[in-house]
Order: sequence, then structure tokens, then C-alpha cells
Amino acid sequence: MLSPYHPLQLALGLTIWITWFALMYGALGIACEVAPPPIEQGSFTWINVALLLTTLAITGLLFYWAHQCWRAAHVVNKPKDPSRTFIANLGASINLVGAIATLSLGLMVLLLPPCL
Amino acid sequence: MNETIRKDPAALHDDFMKVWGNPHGWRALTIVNHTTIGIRFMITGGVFFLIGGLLAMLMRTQLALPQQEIIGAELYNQLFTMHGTIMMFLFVVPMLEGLALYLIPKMIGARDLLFPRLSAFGYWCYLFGSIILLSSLLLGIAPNAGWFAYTPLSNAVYSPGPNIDFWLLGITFVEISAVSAGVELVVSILRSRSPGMSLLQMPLFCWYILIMAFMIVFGFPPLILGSILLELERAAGMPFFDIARGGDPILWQHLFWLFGHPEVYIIFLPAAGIVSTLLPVFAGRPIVAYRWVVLAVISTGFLSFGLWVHHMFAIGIPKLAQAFFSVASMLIAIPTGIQFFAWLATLWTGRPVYHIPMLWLTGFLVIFVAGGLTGVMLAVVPFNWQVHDTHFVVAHLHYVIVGGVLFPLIAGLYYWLPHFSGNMPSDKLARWGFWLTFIGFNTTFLVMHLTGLLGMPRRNYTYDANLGWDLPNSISSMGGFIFAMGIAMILLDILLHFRMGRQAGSNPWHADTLEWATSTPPQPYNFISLPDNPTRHPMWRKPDLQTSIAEGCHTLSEIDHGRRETWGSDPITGKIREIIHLPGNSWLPFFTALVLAVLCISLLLRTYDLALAAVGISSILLLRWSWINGAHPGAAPDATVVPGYPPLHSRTFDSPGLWGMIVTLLADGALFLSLLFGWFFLMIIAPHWRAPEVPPLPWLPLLITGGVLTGAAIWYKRLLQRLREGEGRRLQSQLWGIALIGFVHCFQLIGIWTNSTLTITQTAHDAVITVILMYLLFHSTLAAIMTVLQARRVAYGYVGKTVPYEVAVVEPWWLYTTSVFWLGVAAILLLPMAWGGN
Repeated sequence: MLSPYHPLQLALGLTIWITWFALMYGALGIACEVAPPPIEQGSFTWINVALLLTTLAITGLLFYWAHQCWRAAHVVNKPKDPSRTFIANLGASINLVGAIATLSLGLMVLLLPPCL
Repeated sequence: MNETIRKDPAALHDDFMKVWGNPHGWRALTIVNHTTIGIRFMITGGVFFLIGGLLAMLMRTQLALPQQEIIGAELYNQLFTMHGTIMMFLFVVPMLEGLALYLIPKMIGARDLLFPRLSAFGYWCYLFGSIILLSSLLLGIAPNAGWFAYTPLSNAVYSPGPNIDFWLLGITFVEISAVSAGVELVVSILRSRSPGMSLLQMPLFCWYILIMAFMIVFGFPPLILGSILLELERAAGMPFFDIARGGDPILWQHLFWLFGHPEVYIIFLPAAGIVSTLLPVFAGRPIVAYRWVVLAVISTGFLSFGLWVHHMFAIGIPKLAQAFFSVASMLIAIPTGIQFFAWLATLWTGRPVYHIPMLWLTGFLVIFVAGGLTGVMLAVVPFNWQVHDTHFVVAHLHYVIVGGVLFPLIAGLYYWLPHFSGNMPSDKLARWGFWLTFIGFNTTFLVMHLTGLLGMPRRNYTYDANLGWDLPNSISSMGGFIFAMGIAMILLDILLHFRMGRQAGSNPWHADTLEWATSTPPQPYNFISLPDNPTRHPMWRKPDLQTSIAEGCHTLSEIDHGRRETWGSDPITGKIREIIHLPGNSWLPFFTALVLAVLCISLLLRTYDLALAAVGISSILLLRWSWINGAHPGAAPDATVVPGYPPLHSRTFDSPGLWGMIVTLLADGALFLSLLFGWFFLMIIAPHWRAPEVPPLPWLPLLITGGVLTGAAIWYKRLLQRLREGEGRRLQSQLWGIALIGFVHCFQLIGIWTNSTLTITQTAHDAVITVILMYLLFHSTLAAIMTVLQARRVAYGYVGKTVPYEVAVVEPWWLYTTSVFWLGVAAILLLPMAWGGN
């Protein structure tokens, strides 16, 4: 994992989110073009399951990073330089926002069929 | 590095003005100083605001009563298109950029922005592009397809005249200005803060502008690409958006809204930055939850890139995809809510005083909440379908933009007016201005929600009398004229205050940020000496800062070397790393923009010989621009600095130029990714996508020329590595060698292209490949030319072991060019094989 004090922590979590989002949207379009499941199958289709798994994986990763950043700022070797603490704290929050955003969007796959 | 010796402020001022002073008369066109450029942006933007407002008044006159024929359908189409275009592209963005260009160096304790000639160039591009666009209105051939120029309405079949060409070329020209300001602001905020101003201590306004500038860097390229593609379709018949030939008009919508939605936040964030700057001042306390606000700003910046499809809910995308964008649209309300609560808590726990700027902030809080709530309503897909393309959407848009941007902007205008002019506005006129605007605005647009719910479509030039829309339209029109009276009152107040306003004195609002440590109005150099700033509230901590700065009590107050200098600092900690020397006044930005304006006009007139000549001349001017750098006699031939000071940036490897190059490549990368997105989109979605049986480009020559390019890039990287190690022998000959290989690659690429079977007007497939090839060729050619330039500069002694920074600046270009080449080749050759196209 990138150091919790690295300035890229201010962008990493949400960059992962937007990349995942764009890929998920693109993958949905391709999947519906290549192998659309029957509408009657509802939301329990291979597409929804695949999207849900990626959602959970990315959410878990971002929660883990958020936790690591928070620990670095508050528990482990609390740095004397306030700039480093600031970045670790903010990085934790941004990873957390990324995780929440991923989960909020991804859970939609439980509700709707993919290609309707 | 701190000095404590007091000097004679008047003598220091005279010495500084010899180096930093602005010329008068015709030579004023050469000014590159950020204060002047910022003010020019704002004044020009203000003029366009009045023109855009005038068009709105004409439309409201037309709609005031049913079945009126004051304005015909065609003129009405031009009016609403130009109103939206002017307000979004020629007023709001440039105005806020101008404010940022004016304020940022002063807030971070710098003397100027880091690329002053780029700022000036951006302004001239903006001015000339705007004039070209507006001239179409006077000629009666203004754009008429709406401010988002949807295809197929905007293609050559349905809009055969030059109207849309004015939009495409004018807007692209203006966007050069926006992107250049974005690059300028990112690098300046990160690399030129005053000593000790870490990210943690940075004023909130700078955070907002930093995120806005990054958003411009990533958000504008999709529209630039879209405009280029549509113009190529119109002028050269390349069918990117034509269904019959394998294109898709929905691609335009994606490219437009990939820009268009972030654009809303690009203009909202600086306005919110004004709120976060002013509220604490008038509440008499620091803002509550600084870190939460920073988190909210960064989150808004990112989330805003995940909403674009909510403008396209009515086009028939899968419901699951709609749900993704619906949730994302609701999510973005959360960071905005965080900021609101921080503002309210600041007011709650402070002792607010209701000076004029606070009136506007209160108006903002009320109106923007309403606009935000209708935004959440529009994020709900079924409701969105119901009110799609009705006046409800128009009302929502104006609540967000006028409430969320114009009100804070006017608050900021009143707040910084004493800074611009040294005088205070009239309290009475200002209050009249506020109340007329507030009442007029709400009368116009609150009622317009109802008009929309009653089913009135937007962009209809008239309506029947028996539809129930008469009264709400009449009320909206009356409100519009009250709104206009409010704006006129503000304008009058501003004009009068220059002559009749009382003197403001220094820091009239008892503000906390560093811009109030300059004189009012400020001098071109901002600060005689540059103080340490280990606090967010320098003016509250040290109220006498203005005096001690003017007396040269802080650092970098030497000027006998004749260079324009400011500190270069670490982007995180704000520790000083180098002295950045800045270029002085120059004709180059003006003339380069002028020649580009000729290029724009020649493309409009389709006189391609003239266009080619303009490209040649502008290239020569740009090469001349980059020639006056580093150890050139016009830049910094003498690298002597005061003992104890760090070196000049041109004598290091980590210059602002390198940062500028990297940020520029981020914008470039966003454009390339948009192009690849277009390629994938058409391949997967376009109903009549056609790929030839045999790939139009041979794979083996492509791999060989890619190998040649990669070899050149690796050689360049190794050369730079050796230079970093202090090994500068045979630098010039190696640069010539790399450039030669670069040109060999270019000729190979041209050969592959000319021998290909591409038929660019027959299929979107071949048209997109052609654009990718043009993109790759442009980058490779520029890499080779820049390397030739470096080799020549080594011969003159402007680049070398002791002045190495330019070699480091060019390296990312080579790496980027190589990367996009392989990505492009993979997209053209490999992906269609995987998809089963070729």
C-alpha cells in the first residue's frame, strides 16, 4: 500500500472509485451487448453477481486503506510533522468516502436487472 | 533567511517598479503581471455578462405574453443558444478564473503566477475567441442549436450554415484559455507558496481553486475533443456522429456532458471558496471544521465526474445504469451539505456583522439550498423524465448557477472591491442592488418551476394562450426586469465608487488572509519582501504585516539583480526549495493569440492556405517563446544569489516547468482517454459500426516504428539520468541523435498512413483511426522538435550541466508520446481482433 503520509492519498481513494465506476458502467454496456441475460431472471444474473463481487472487493480495499491511514495518523508512530498527520487523516477520510460511494452505487445491482 | 533590517519603503518601491512596473500606451498589451491579467479577465467577463443578460431580457420580452411575434423562431434559437454559451463559457468561467488569477499569488504570498506569459496568452485567446463568437450574433448567423449543440441538429445536414462552426471553433479557442489557466493555477498553488505555508495552513480559497483547476485540466478536454470531431465531421465529412456511416450522435452527448457536469462544479467550487473565505471574516472567527471542508471540496471534485449521464436519462440507457448515476447524483449532495453545515456553524459560533457582502452570502444560502434540493429531485429518474426539457430544468439550472455562483461572486466583488480600487462602495446603493436582484431573481425563477410543472417546454419561442402558461410567464418576465434593475444598480455603484467612494484604508474588513497585506490597490510586485506564513490567519496574527513587508523586513527583498523573483516551495510542507525567476513583459502572448485568431477565422472561412500559414507563424512564435528561458540573456544569464539563499530554479532539475509539463500532460491524457472512449463506444454501441475485413494499417511496420520511438525515449531518459549524475559530455550530439530518430519515426508513421486503405469519409471506423494517427503524429513531431530546440540551446550555452532544467521538462513528453503510441496501436489493432471486428 502507498504510504499513509504520501500526498497521493488525497486523491487515491476517489481515483479508484471513479475508475471502478467508469469500468463498471462500460462493462455493463459490453455485457449487455455480448450476452444479455433474460429479463425474467430479474437481478440474479451473472452480470449482477460479477458487478457485486467487484463492488465488495473495491469497497473492502478502500475500507482497509482508510483504516491504515487512520492508524498512521492516530496510533502508530504518530508523526511530529503536522503536515504528515494532516495528509494521513485526510487520506483516511477520502478512502472512506470512496468506500461509501462504491458500496452505495454497487448495491444497486441487488435491485435491478442489468439490461432492461 | 529572515531579515530584520528596515529599509526605506519608498526607495524599495522605486527599485522594484524598475523591474516589475507595467508599461503604458500600446505597450500595455505586453503586460503579463497577474494583477493586470486577472482584472482584464474580470472586466471582459463582466461585459459579456451584460451582453448575455441583454439577450435574456429579449427572450423574457418575447415570452411575457402568449403568441407574440416580437422575435421570430430563428432569432430566438440564436438568442437562447448565445445566452447559455456566453454565460457559461464567456462569463462565469473566465470571471472566476480572473478572480483566482488575481488573488492566488497574493493569498499564498507570491509575487506573481509561475507562468505569467501563459496567463497573458490565455487572456488574449479568451478575448479573441469571444469576439469571433460574438461577431456571429452581429452578422445574424449566431449558433442556434442550444448551448450543448446536440447532434444531429448541429451537423452539416440540419445546420448547413456557419452558425455551428462559430460555436465549435470559438469555444475551442476560449477553452485554450481555460486549460492554460488551470495548469497555471495548479502549479502556482503547489510550488510557490510563501515559506512555511504547508497544505495544512493553506487558505481555504486556495484549496477550492486547486481542485477547480484540476477539474478544468481533466474536464475540458472531452469537450475540446468533441468540438474537434464535430468540426471535422462538418468540414471534412468524417462521420463520427452519423449513424448511417457507423457513428453515433449519443457519443456527442457523452463527450459534452463528460465536460458539462464537472463544469457545474468547476464554477460552483470557486464561488463556494468565496463563501468559505468571507463568512469567517464577517463572523469574526476561523471557519469551523477546516479539514472537513477540505474533504468536502476534494470529494465534490471527484464525485462530479461520476454524474454526467444524469443529463441523458431520457435517451434510453438500461435502468441499472440509470440507478448508478441517480445514486451518484444524490451522493454529491453530501459534501455540499458538509460545507453548508460548516458555514452555518461558523455563523452560529461567531459574531456575524451584516456588511454588504454578508447580504449576498445570505441570499446565496437561501437560493442555493433550493437549487440543490431541486437537483436531488432531478436525480430521481421518473421525476427527471416528467420534467425533462421543460422550464422546470431551466429554473433549477438558474437557481444553482445564479444562487450558487453569481451571488457569491457579487459578495466577493463587494468584499475585494476596496482591494481593486482602494475605495469603498455606497452602502445604500449596494443594498438596493441586493434586494432588487434577490426579489427579481426569485420572482423570475421560482415561478418558472411551476411553468415547467405545467408542461411548458424550454426553447419554444412562443405559446398558445389557452395552456395556463400566460400568468407565470408574465410574472417571470416582470421578475426578469426587476432582476436587471438590480444588476444595473450594482453596476452604477461600482462605477460611482471609483470617484465618490470613501478611502478604504488597509484591510477594511479586518480580514485574515494575506492578500490584504498588499497595498490597496496592489503594486505589480505584490510584496516587497516575502514573509514566513506558518498560520492560516496571518493578518489576524500579525496586523502590522503590511508595514513590515513594505519595509523589506522579510525575505527576497533584493532587486539589484534585475530579475523578477518569487520563492519556489515544497508542495506539501511549504519549505523553500529554490528561487523562481519569472519572465517579464512580452509581445509574444499577444501576437501568438492574434495569429491563432487568424487561424480560427480562416478555418471558419475554410481558407485552408491561410490556416496553414497561421499554423506556421504561430509555431515560430511559440518556439521563440520557449527560446527566452533559462540562461538566455532575456531570462537569467547570471545565477548569482545572496549567500544562504537556494539556487535559481533553472539551475535545478525540479522546476515549475516540469510541473507545468506534467499537469499539461494530464489534460492531454484526458483528451486521449476521451478519444479511446469514443473508439470503444462506437465499436460497442453504434448500430451500424462497420470494420473492414482486413485491418487498414499493417501491424509489422507499426511495431517497427513503435520500437524506433521507444528507443528514442529510452535514450532520452538515460541522457537525463547521466545529466543528473553530473555527466554532461556530448549532450548536444546525443540530443541531435535522439531528434533524428524521432523524425525517422515520424516519417515512418506518415508512410504507414499514406499507404493505408483508410477511407475517412466512408466509415466512422476509419475516421477515428485517422484522428488517432494524427494525434500520435503530432506528439511524435513535437517531441523531435523540442529535442532539436534543446540541442540548439546547448550550442548557445542556454542549456547544459549547470542549467539542466529544460532537459528534464522535455522528458515526460517523450515518455507520454511512447505510452500513447502503444496504447493507440493496441486500441486500433488488438481490440478489434478481440471484439471480432477485423
